[in-house]
Amino acid sequence: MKKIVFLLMFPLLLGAQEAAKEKVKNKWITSYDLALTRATQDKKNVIVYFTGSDWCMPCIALKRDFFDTPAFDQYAEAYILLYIDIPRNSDLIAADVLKQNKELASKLNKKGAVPMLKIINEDGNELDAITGYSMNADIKYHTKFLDKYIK
Amino acid sequence: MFGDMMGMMGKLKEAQEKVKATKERLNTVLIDEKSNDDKVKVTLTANRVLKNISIDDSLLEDKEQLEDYLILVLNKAIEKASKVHEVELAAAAKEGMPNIPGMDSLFK
Repeated sequence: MKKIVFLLMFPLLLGAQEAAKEKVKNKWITSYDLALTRATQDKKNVIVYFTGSDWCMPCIALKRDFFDTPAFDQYAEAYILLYIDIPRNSDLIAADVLKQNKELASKLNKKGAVPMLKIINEDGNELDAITGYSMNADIKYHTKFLDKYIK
Repeated sequence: MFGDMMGMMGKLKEAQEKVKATKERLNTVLIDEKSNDDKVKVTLTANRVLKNISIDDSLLEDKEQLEDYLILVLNKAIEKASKVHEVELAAAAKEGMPNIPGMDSLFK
């Protein structure tokens, strides 16, 4: 009986995960200026996420284990999300976005560490940062970190 | 024939440059590992360079226990970083190379 219930529920669970993924995906902004404007309007801090979306394995795992799951929903609501990707394949993002991302990385992430979550306020002042990921679905360091800067 | 050789050499050089660039980029990829009880946490780059170690105060009283923790966590971290390192370098080598079986291992 349990097996049947599980089999019936499985597509629903998968659907929920996909919906969460889509919901959060739409919240990531790629423009720094727009992120600060929204942060001022909504009185929220900004998560600046530095990633190499097609080459950095811990970044890919962090996306899978955290950003694309319902566990990230509350943070997607509480923060403005700024996505700073520097992919190996430059065709993956627009040239002007890549230029902005490289400039931002040289300003906010001088060592180029990825994955990095940096919290900035609406004035662009840096509050804190967390780098690295264990790739084993343990996201509590990240949730604990993000809990600290929710306004 | 010589044209083919020159072309092949050019591709080899290109692949070597890609591998070099990837190695540099892997210096920025940070991988965390920790003990099950969170008392020891280490951060390595994907080039297996140790960047950070955090040790809980409670472990400082027992040298042997601390040594065991470090061995365990560091080995796990090195294994994980090595995997990332190998996968990335193999991908970089493959990009610029004709499909020759066994060629990937030259770049590891």
